[in-house]
Amino acid sequence: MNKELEHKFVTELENNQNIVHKVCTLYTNDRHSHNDLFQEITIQLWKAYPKFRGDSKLSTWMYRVSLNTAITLYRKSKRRVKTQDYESVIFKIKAEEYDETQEEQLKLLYKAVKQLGDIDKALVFLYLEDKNYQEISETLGISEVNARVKMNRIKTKLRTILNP
Amino acid sequence: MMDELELLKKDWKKKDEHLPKLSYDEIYTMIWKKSFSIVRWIFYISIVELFIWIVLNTMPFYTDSFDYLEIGFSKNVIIATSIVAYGAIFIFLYYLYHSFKAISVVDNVKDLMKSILKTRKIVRYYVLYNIVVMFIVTIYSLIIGFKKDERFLNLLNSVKEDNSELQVWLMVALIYIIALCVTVGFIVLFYQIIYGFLLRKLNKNYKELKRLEL
Repeated sequence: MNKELEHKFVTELENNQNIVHKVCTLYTNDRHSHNDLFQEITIQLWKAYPKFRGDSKLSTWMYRVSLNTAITLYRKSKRRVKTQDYESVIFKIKAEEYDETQEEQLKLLYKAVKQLGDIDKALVFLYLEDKNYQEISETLGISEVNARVKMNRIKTKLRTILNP
Repeated sequence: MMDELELLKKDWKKKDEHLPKLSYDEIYTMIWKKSFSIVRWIFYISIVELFIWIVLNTMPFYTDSFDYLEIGFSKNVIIATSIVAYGAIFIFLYYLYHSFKAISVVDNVKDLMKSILKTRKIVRYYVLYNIVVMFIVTIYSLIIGFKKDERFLNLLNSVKEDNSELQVWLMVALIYIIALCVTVGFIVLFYQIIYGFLLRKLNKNYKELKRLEL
């Protein structure tokens, strides 16, 4: 039974690992921290998995656990070593896909998003993942109206970061 | 700006191919690793706290001061206070256990923070309770000590003769207050450092979420 559950969990996480990687990308700055956070999220997901009933979509459940771990539960481990700037690897923009101005603009945008606070990042992340305001508000535990207000403030904040 | 975020969204979706890919085996080994979460840290700290206070509370029984205690307190008083003390520990354990159980990673972000802060509050109450008990017990023992300790009575008699009784009392009170302030200050500082370090990020984010409700 347990072996079955392990297998099911690992397979599902393997197939949906992008969600976790995206959260890690947003909340860490180097490869080591990325892996560290990924591991902590995996542990939390696995601990919560036996109680996952499938009432909600697996992805919704994963968004919640991943964000909770990144924002609240995760503490940087001591063995953290500063490695190369990870951002440049993960957010590399393929030159052939964009014209130069757009590429530059995107680079600045990603940089601006990384500078936001933990809560703001979560909102932007869910927004980028195409979640509606109802889902955003449920994940964060705030009202839908407040989620909209917050999102507008973030947009203003991003604008100030981009055009100081 | 709207357009720019939309632009970001379009690009974001293309990011998948750049993300790392972990194998089945890599993920499998991860699920058996130890968690380093903040909840685990708080759990360890509260266990240590529990033991420290239990040791401090029962210390008089291992040392010579037990005889001294017996002068001041009757056996029944000692038994009664012990029952209260252990009762408090059990109540603390009960609430601590339940608050840890209430922490759920599948809650929404705000509720998760709330339940962690609640756990921390229970630990804080326990410490506060212990400080109050420490305060009462010390004062009571001092009073008993002054009344019964022969050396102190002799000292008091000798100072009575040269009319400096008030000064001695003031001195004793002053020393006692300073010692108490230093001890309590030390404990408070210790907690501020430990929990301040541990919960700084959480407090900040929680305040931000709460501010939205206004």
